[in-house]
Order: sequence, then C-alpha cells, then structure tokens
Amino acid sequence: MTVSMEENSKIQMLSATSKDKKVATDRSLLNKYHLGPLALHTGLVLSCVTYALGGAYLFLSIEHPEELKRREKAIREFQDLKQQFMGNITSGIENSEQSIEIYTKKLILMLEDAHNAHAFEYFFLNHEIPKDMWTFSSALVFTTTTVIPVGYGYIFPVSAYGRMCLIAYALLGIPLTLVTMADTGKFAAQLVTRWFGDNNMAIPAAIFVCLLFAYPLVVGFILCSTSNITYLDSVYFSLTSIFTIGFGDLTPDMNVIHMVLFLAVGVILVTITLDIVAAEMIDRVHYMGRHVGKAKELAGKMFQLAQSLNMKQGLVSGVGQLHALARFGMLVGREEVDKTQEDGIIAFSPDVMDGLEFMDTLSIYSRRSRRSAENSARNLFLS
Amino acid sequence: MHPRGKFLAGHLSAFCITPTTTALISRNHSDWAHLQLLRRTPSSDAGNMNQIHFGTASARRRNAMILENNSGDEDAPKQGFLANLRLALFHLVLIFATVAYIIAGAYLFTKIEHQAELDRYQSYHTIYRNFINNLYQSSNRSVADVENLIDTFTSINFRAFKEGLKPTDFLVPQETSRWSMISAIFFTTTVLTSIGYGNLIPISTGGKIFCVGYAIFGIPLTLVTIADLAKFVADMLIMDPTEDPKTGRQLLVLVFLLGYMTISACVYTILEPMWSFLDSFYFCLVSLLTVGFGDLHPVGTVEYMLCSIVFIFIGLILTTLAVDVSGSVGIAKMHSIGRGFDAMKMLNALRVRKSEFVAKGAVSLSAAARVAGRRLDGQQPHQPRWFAYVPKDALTIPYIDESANVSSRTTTTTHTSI
Repeated sequence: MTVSMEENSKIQMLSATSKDKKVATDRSLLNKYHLGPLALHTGLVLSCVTYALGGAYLFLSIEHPEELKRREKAIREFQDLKQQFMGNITSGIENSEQSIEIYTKKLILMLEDAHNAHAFEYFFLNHEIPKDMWTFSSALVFTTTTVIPVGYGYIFPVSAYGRMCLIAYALLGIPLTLVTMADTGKFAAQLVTRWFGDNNMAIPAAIFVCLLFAYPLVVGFILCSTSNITYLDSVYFSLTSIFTIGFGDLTPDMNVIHMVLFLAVGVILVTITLDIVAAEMIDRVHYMGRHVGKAKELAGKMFQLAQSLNMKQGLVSGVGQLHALARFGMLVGREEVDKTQEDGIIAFSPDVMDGLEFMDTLSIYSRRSRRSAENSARNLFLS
Repeated sequence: MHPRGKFLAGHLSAFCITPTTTALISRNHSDWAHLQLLRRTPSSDAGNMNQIHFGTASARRRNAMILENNSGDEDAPKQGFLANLRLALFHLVLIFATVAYIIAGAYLFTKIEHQAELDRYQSYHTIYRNFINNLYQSSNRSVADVENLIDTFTSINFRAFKEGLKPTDFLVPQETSRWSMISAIFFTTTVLTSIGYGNLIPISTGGKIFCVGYAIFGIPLTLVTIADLAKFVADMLIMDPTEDPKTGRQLLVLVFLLGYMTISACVYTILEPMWSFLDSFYFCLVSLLTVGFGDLHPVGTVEYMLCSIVFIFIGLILTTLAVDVSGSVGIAKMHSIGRGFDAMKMLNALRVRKSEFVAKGAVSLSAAARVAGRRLDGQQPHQPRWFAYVPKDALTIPYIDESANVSSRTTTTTHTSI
C-alpha cells in the first residue's frame, strides 16, 4: 500500500500543475497526521470565537446610535431637573424640604437607567465628556458573557431591535458555546482519566474538585494584584463568574482577552467537575428507591425469557457474567429457579439438545477440511 | 435476519408494557459508568449469541413468555403502595432540603445585610440632615454657592445609589428595607440557579463571604434537584424506551420550552405595566438561559415574587430537559466524529437497551445453569467441544429449528440434507 501510494504521488507530480501539487500535499499531510478530527474540533472553537466577534460588531452597530441619543436626552433631563430645583430653592424657602424630596426621588428614578447613571457619572460628577458604553471591547465582553450565560449586566440592549437580536443570538449562541466547552472539557477529562487510570474514577474526580476550588483563589490573587479590588472581592468576583451567577456589582480593570479566557476556562472547569462528580450522583438520586423492586421484576422477566433459549448456551454465557450476576444477588436467581422448576419449563430442553448434538458433530468434520483460520478461532474459543 | 429482528422487536415491546420497567431502562441508558462496564466485559459476545438464538424459539414458548409476562404484571399491584412510598420519599426529601436551604439562606442574608444597611443609613442620614441645615442658611448666599451645595448633595445621592441604598429610604427607615424576607428569598433563588440579576447584592464583607460559601454548597444541591425533576419529566415523555432518541422528540421539547416562554411572557406583560411583550419575552429568555442581566426583574407583592420563583424553577426544569434530550446527543456526536474508538462507544450507547436485556438474560441463565449443571455434565461429557461450534454457525440455525419442530425426522434424512 505504501509503495502504491508513493507511485501515485510520483505520477501525480509528473502530470499535475503546481495547484494540484499543493492539493495533493495537503491531502497527504491531512492523512498522515490525522488532522481531520482535529480540524473539526478546532473549527468548532473558531466558530464560537467568530460568533462572539460577529455578535459584538452587530450589537455595537445597533446599540451605539441608540446610546448617543439616550445620552443627549439624559444630560438634557438632568440639567432641566437641576435648574428646576435651584429655581424652587431660590424663589421660596417654605417649600424647600418638599423640593428636596421631589428632587431626590426624581434623581434616583432617573439613575435606575444604567445609561442615565453612566452619563450622569461622567458629565456631572467628573465634568468630563462621557465615554462610550458600547465600544468594541465592551461589546465583546457583552457577547461573551451572554453565550457563556454569566450576564454581568454592565451593558445590555435597550432598543427593541437590539433585544430581538439578543433573543435570537442567545438561543443560537448558548447551545453552540456550551457544546464547544463540553467538547473541550471532554478532551481534558479524557486526558486526566487516561493519565491516572480509568478504572478508578475517584482520583480524577478529586483532582478536578481541587482545581475547581483553587481556580477562584488563584485568579482572585491575580486580580487583586493587577487591579484596585481587595482579595476578598476578587475571589467573590471570580466565584460568581465561573458559576455563571454574574451579579455585575464589581467591574475589575481587566483586559478583554484575559476576561474571556478566564471565563471560558473557569466554566469549562465547572462543567467537567459537575460532569464527573454530579452526573453519577444525579442518576443515583433519581433512581433511589427504585433499584430493588424493579431490578427483581426485570430479572424475573429476563429469567423467563432465558428459558426459551437453549440452556447450554446459557451455561457458557453465564460463566462470563459473574460480575453482573453479583449485582442482582443469588437469592433472586434461586427463587426464580425454584419457580421455574415447578412450572416444568425445563422439560422442553432434551429434545432440542439431542438434535443439536448430532448436528454439531457433523459440522465439525465438514468445517475442519475447509478453513484453517476458523479452526484456529475455534481452538482459541475452546481454550 | 428479518424474522430474528421481528422477534426481538416483539419481545422488547412486550417488556415495555409494564411502566415499572421503563424507568430502569432509562436509568441504564443514561448510566455511562455501567456502559463502560458493559463494554469491557465479554457481554457483547454473549449478546450476539443470544441474539442469534432468539430466532430458534418456538411459537409455543413465545406464547408461554407472554403469559408469564402477564402473570408478572399481576404481582405488581401487591407492592404498589410500598413501592410508591419508597419511590417518592427520597425525592420529596431532596426538594424539601433545597427549599429549606433557600429559606434559611434568605433568613441569614436578611440578618447580615440589614445591619449593614442600617449602618449605611445612619451615615447618609447624617449627611442628608447636614444638607438640609445648610440649605436653610443659603438665603444669604450667592447662586454659585447654592449650585455647589446642590452638586455636593447630588454626588452624595449618586454614591448612595451606587452602594444599593436609596435616599428615599431615609424618610421612612422603619417601614421599608431592601432586604425583606421575600426579597432575600428571591435573591437566594437567583444565586442558586446561577441567574444572578444583580439588583440586590451583598455589600458587607460578611455578606460576601457568606455568599461565596452559600453558592459553593448550594449550587450543586440545586442542580441535582432540578436535574432529578427533569428526569421525571423525561421519563414521562419516553413512551417506548426501545426507540432511539428521535429528532421529533427533540423538537417537541424545544417547542414546549419556547411555548412556556411565550405564555410566561404574556403573563408578565399583563402583570408588569411598564413591560411590553418584547420586554417580557426578553426577560423570560434571559432568566431561563441563566444569563440574568438584571436590567429587568420582577418587583411587587409577596405572592407575585413567589410566583416568579416558581416560574424560574419550572422553566429551568424544562431547560435542563431540553439540554438532556438535545444537547447530550449533540455533544456525544460532536466529540466522537472522526474517531473510531469513540464511534464504537456511541454505537454501544445506541444499542445499550437491547444489550441490557440480553446481558441480564444471561445472568438468569447462569443461575439456571448452576442448578441444571449436574445433569448436563453427567449426560454430556464432551460439552466443551460441543458448545464451541453452535453459536457461530449461522447455517445450522434453520436446521436446528426444523429439527425442534419435527422431532420424528430420522438420521438418514439429516445426513442426506447435508
């Protein structure tokens, strides 16, 4: 096969153009290093990245004009409110306390809107031109925290069209991202399982649980060293992020790429740990209280089914199923055996066994002269 | 092969008549650890042998099988009450534990954060009163001084707002508190379900530390409870466990989830005066997918908040169900594409139900063989050689069946046919 492949490649090189040569080289390279599956999984990751970047651009183009309009409106409203308050105070002093109360309530009501609060903070408190809430980096954080369902809520779409896009974007993006992270997690779990032995799942489970507890602490330390947040707040932020709670009460100064990587790795770690530790727990919990009755009932039915088969095949099969037999217990089998004897089902076997014996004897002589490979297989089976 | 497959389908359908068998089969299907064990033992060969010989059973034995199956059904009602009690007790305890955890956490959060809230209230109340006093003296000041005073007051209000307090709370501090019991229950629910609106958050150090520990232990508990309830719904959906998961059922679950969101959105549109249908649907989607931006969140009476909590839990059960039905198959397929080893694993998963029946049948066979072993050994001293050939000789099957039906056939006829 190798020789023929080489000859084919030689012939193809002689008769092909440079483009064909490149195609042939690519194919041989793919076949040589088994890059097909790797390309698929890499493509899945790249599609997620592309989806996040595309979504960021989409939401930026939709929401940025809306933000500018709302900012101008907010600034105008705040100025009007302030002028009205000053007028009330300077004109008459008898209603000043009521004016203060009205002003305070209106102010808080306007600040409930995140856009208004953002514009107010920059324009009135810091006397600066307000920064854009919807920049490409903030939009990227938004799309990432949407498809990994963290949802800080720093920024969010406020226009009707933006919300429609978010509904479709989340419905398509969240499954894609979860599948990708689960797929990546399976690779990591498979690696650890193979490394530490797949018969004992306790060691991989312990490893992942320790990693899960260590990850927020380590990231918290990195955050508090690079930002102005305390260590407790950093750990608090890390934990609420990787568990996808995402309050959004803290806004650490973090690079967008670092934020995305931190979230992706953390959520993958949580997914792996829950998959290894909790999946079996969920199954056990769900079927708690069902094993005894149903297993016995099913075993009884299986036993009755087995009576319709030849018992000699059962003898051979049963020897190989000792471990499975232990799960049901000897008592169940014994009870069913007694019941069957009373029914007299065993009486059918001798007729069939006689016929089988004769048939088998003849087949030995007729088969042996035909194939040696089959004989060797039989010998292996006998041993 | 056709008669054999038909026989298999018939028998598997017969077994599915009893609903008690369904859940165990579902459990075996979803138990990947058991699948690993099944794959590594030589049960696959045993399964093949048994599958080959299903076709040799006579019609009389088939009828006997059905009769035995019916007699098995008659025994079920005798243990019905005890079985149901044992079945439901643990799950009810689990649900009760989750609800108790939520309520206890809410109570502790109110204790921790309410004190912190009072401390902040005192601080801002002092500043607020100072502003009032200064304002009374402003009649003698210039417009610029008044404007500076207003700016200072405004910045104080803004900082209070950022820290979660509202200056309006100063006016009637005894009657209103952000951390009421129902608010705290809503908060703990959104923490454990990892939605996290962020409208109400712990501010004090003790509150944050408690929130960290609370989430670490509470989220797995809540996930297990929701997944447990989702499996109950999945069991109800599976009518015929012998069928492989089909696209129709996946679409049915997804349509049901979207329908639930739409109905809930209509309800919220009616109950929330400020929300349009788009806002309500947006809120439902953001909640049930556990994104939880927090720009929209329900605020209202105790009954309204409790209904919102129930809405969240039911929706999450449906979402978990959709993930179980659609996502797990997708993940397995995606991971296995292009890999021979994992493809075999997937094939085993798809055939696990049939293999389960056959494997457990072999278990019962071994029990019967132990009793009958003595007779067989006495009558057939050369049985090892005899056993080795029959299961793998497909050509012999019609002959064996024919011989069983007509036992009067003579040796000469058999030799002639060969």
